[in-house]
Amino acid sequence: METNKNGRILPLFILRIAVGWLFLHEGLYKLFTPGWTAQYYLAQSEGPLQGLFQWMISNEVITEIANYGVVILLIATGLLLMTGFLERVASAAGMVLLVFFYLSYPPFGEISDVMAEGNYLIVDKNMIMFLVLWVIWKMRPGKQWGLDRLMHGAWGKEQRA
Amino acid sequence: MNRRDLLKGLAGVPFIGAYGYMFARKMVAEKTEEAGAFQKFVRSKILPSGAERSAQTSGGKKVRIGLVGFGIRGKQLMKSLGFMTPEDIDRMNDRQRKLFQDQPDLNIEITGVCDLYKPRLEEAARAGANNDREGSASFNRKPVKQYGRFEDLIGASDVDAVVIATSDHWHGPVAVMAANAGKHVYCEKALTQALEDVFSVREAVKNNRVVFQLGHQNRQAESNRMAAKVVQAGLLGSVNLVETTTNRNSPNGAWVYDIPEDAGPHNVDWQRFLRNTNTPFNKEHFFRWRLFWDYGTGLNGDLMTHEYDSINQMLNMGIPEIVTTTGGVYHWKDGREVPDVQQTVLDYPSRNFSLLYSASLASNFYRPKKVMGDEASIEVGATLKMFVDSESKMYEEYLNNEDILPNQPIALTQDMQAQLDAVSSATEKYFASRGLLYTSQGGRMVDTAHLHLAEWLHGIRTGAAVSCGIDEAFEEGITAMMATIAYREGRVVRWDGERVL
Ligand SMILES: NC(=O)c1ccc[n+]([C@@H]2O[C@H](COP(=O)([O-])OP(=O)(O)OC[C@H]3O[C@@H](n4cnc5c(N)ncnc54)[C@H](O)[C@@H]3O)[C@@H](O)[C@H]2O)c1
Repeated sequence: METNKNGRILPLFILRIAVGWLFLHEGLYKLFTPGWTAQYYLAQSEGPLQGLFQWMISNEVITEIANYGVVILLIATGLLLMTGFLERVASAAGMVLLVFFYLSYPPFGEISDVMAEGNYLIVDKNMIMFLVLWVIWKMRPGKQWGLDRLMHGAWGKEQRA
Repeated sequence: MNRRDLLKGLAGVPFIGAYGYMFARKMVAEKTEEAGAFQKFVRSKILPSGAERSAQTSGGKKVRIGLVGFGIRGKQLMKSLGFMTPEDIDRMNDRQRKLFQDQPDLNIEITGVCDLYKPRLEEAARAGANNDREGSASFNRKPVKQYGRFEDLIGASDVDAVVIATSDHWHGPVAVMAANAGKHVYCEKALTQALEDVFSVREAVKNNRVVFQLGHQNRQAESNRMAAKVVQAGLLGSVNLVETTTNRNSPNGAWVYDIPEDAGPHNVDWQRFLRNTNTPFNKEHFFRWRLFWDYGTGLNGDLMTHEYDSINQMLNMGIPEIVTTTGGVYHWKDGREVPDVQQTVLDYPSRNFSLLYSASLASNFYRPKKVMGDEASIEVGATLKMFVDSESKMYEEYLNNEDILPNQPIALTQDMQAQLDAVSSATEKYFASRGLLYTSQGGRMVDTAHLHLAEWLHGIRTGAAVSCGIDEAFEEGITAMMATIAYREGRVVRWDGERVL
């Protein structure tokens, strides 16, 4: 029974590690790139959030908050997903970030997409990652493989006792 | 909690460890790569120019400025000086307004404006009065003095300095008169539209020792300044060919400007617009003067001068010995006199190099400036890129070590002009790509014309040198006139060191 469960959880566990890895690396990379700012990314955005982004970069304080916010969220989400701690919170946070990324440069077949590094129509990597996080949010592999197990385990036992 | 719980609970941790190890290794590798021998060598030759831009004083008394010519450019220069009409301030979006409000105060006053078209004159007077950069909600100042004759503005005792943004054919007379009255001059390019004027402006400025700056704001752009350093440090070896260009493809880019409906003899002072001619009133001539030889010099004065000056900024090569120009009206067959496709070759036999200027107003295919040397070349656009020649001797060692790849771009600046949301039209994008709109200073976007005007004012206050003074202006003026003469007379034009032959 236990082995069976392991077999089912393993791919989900690896998926969670992989997505966490991506988030963590994006965050750390930005953190260590001198002068990195979300400004250019936001400025060039032509999607439905353009107005919001233009407003954000027109204010220095908000641009700064956006810069730190993105980096901190990426790193925190990455670490939580890799350790499997609070994985539902982490998946939800990651999903919100991904919705932003998706809508900043929506792959709706515009000519400007030629600059993207692959070829996408509607479905892109952000969307796939979003779906992955949704699966994790639903299936909660961390209850088996991850720090959430210790939490739940501890509580579960207490409650049973 | 048992052992299995603990192991499974911590299952993710080894991955974090693995990630951390690899990330650290990557960082270390990039650090060493970053400070490669080649970069070290280049950096030792050139330092970022931001640091040495001299701190500019704007203390002391206000400089009192009179503006002559409030058309497209006059309005832009007023903005760069910190003055706009309240209505224009209302019309800007938040971002543009912020950029404008953040522009440093130059401690000046606009004490008079002059234009030949009544609505513009009135608008200029409102802009000039807007000392506090207010929108129309709070603005209630009296317009500044309006002059119909530039002679009166120059003669006014409350004008210390004159900014000239008229059509090209009036630059000379206005500049000469201002200098002779002891007023400092900021004059738009091209220096003049007539050869004699080039000499008379120089004479007047030198005799009266006024501070003169020609409107080539490219002098302030970071990528141009860096390019000048690269060239002057000898990093390209010997420069033998320079290719500069203009490519535009829109009515606006081809100078087919809107003609206001209401304009007519009642509000345009046509007689004062004419200089040596007797043409009957003609709206098209007044508003699209760039198309006709009586008022402008076509591509030569309008766009080649910018290209020429930015190369002069790098190479200090001065006036060419031999000039040829060919081309024609090949696309815009709208009655214009000046060519829309043109090639001008400026030759410098005693300096062993040629400068090619190639222009089309009917294709906006992007061609950055190229400065070619026997060791390396640079491409100057909004950013500056260097390409090491595969036959280079100077860089042989770096090429052999695969420190660099031959003929692959190496970025030398990261200018902020990529960020073009504050500017919009195709013509503006063209200008931005030539370093004529914005540059970055300490990570902020700054209007280059503002910097250029600030440098002029600094010169007025302290006597410090300006970057496009009368000598550079003289070189620009003679060169542009040689190109015009070469085209109009269909011949090779020469400079013997003192005269155009
Ligand atoms: N440095 C740059 O990037 C840059 C950019 C654009 C234009 N310019 C230069 O600025 C100058 C003006 O160009 P523009 O596009 O604004 O032209 P424009 O036709 O829009 O404006 C010229 C103005 O000058 C006025 N004027 C002409 N003769 C006059 C006189 N004798 N007295 C008083 N006013 C007079 C006209 O009434 C007109 O309003 C040109 O020399 C042009 O080369 C420079």
